[in-house]
Amino acid sequence: MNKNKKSLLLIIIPIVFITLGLVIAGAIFQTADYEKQQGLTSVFDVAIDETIAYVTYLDGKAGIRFRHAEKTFDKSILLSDVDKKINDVTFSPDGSSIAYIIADKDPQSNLNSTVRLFTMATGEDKELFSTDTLITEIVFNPQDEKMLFYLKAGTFENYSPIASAHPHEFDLYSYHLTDQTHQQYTNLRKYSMQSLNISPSGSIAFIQMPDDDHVETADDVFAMNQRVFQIPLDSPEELAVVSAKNREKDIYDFAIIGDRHEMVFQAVSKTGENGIFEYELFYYNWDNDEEKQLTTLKEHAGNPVIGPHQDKIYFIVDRKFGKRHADLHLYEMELDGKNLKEISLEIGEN
Amino acid sequence: MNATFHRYVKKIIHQTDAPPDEKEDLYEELLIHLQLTFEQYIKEGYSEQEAERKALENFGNEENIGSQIQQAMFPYRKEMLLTLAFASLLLSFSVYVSQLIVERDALITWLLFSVGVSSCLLVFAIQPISFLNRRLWINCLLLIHLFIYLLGVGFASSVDSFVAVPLSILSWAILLLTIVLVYRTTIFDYQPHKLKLKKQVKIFHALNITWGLVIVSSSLFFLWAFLAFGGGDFTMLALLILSVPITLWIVTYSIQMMLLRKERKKTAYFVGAIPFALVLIYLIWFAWGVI
Repeated sequence: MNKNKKSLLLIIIPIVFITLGLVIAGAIFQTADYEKQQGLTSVFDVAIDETIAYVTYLDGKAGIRFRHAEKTFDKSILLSDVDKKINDVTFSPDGSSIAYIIADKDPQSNLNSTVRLFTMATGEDKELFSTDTLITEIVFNPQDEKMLFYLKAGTFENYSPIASAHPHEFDLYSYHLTDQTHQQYTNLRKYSMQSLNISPSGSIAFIQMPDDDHVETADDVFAMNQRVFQIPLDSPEELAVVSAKNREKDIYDFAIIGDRHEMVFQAVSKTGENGIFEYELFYYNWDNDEEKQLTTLKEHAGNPVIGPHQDKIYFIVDRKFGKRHADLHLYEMELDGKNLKEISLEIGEN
Repeated sequence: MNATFHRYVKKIIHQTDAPPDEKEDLYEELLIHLQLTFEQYIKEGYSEQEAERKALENFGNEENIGSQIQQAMFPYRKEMLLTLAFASLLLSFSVYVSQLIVERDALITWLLFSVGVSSCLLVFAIQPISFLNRRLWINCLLLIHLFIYLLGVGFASSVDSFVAVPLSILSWAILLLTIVLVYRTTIFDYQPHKLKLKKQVKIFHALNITWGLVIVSSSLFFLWAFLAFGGGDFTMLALLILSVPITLWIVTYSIQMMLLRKERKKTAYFVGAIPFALVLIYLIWFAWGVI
């Protein structure tokens, strides 16, 4: 054997062994995507007594944890199935129970949703209803704790070959806990709907959706904006835009502030130095068209929830927006954007 | 002529990966040199056996001579290939381990392909394989290497840790070195002696490699965009996005080289305009922001 061949063997043999070792280590230690999810999600709600319910993941298993400044909780909700996620949570008006939606993590292969009700005092957890469609958001009627409003998507697919799969054909429904009956309010089959809010009187629903009334051509689709609509529940066909009608930038999440014709909404503020959009929270009054920016975090602020006494805004900040993994934190501030502070949440064992 | 001398010279030639016409010249040159030395020793009164032994001794170890000739013909190429192979192996293992520890992802297929192609480069660098080591084989290997380590750039930068920065820098350096080696191998290392229009051939190679890099990277970008926004389904349309421009480039490149061999310069320039037009369309497309 010549010198070159000897030195080649001396190099190649360790390479083969290292590669084999790494392959075996990989086969042992790799984890499926479903089991990787960790930490806080953007799903949370605040009860009348300022208890915060928030959804976390631990090794892919979803759970709902509770936090109160002065109370401790010995109960939490933990899903045992790594294939399931919690789409939304909502406290009942008196804070005695919490409704939540469980759906499959892969809606394309298994489109179904289950709405459950957890009683805070007893820890009783029961199924309210189940459906072969996707329920994305849920909220109690502020005037009737036996009534839930929800957004339901009829399909989860990619509408065009250059779009990824998303829920579509949305409409607004309600469910009556006592009668166990459902009622459909809209028949819009909307491309998207999100951020369901109900007015304190329980008579108007507010939803963010595309303003596609005059869309006819592809150019119209590109020019279309996401706006906030109000839908009178006794005459849903009279829906109307309440966010600024001439606002050129889209509105994403929002939360209405009581019955004051005001809202806090999320929109893009500007493009950051790293080329990634900065999402901030804004205030808007639709009576006098006043708009002002509330946050200047230069990150991704969103998912606003108005506190029970309408004096605080709770929201989520993603400090790694645009990166592979989100890094979510819960914040609170006053309605004018002052006294901003982070709320520490326990994420560990569910 | 002496059979021992033939075997000896063949061994030397095997250590080099010169093109066949150059190998023939080298073979003859070495053989004549050996024969002259042999005859000199005979004149000095040595027996045939002694003269043969002395002539071979005088020449030295065939492996060393072959290696020196190879180094003289392709200066720094061995070092460049070794650097590329070892840096690539280092990156493959580092990216794999980082992804496994940080992301709990085992990139087993990528590891096997990347280690495989880097090991092949290592073999080519240390032990030239005479019946394989031609421009086509090395370039094929380098292009496969380029594609595999382009994926490596993505894997390196997606590690959610501080190691992403050094790994990304290393992966981009590896890509750059691979591209330099593709240019070097095609334009300088393997030019047949008998070919006319040598200067034009070099220009055509340089232009076509540049167009090829633009066309392949643009096609991969469009494919990525298509797969990313299309839900990851590899459809017939995705296949067309990737294959049509690349096939067009390969076909026009081959036709140009064939025309130059036949010394039909003008027609070669005309065919050469096709991939150039394709690149121009891509550039205008990007510039106008149509995508």
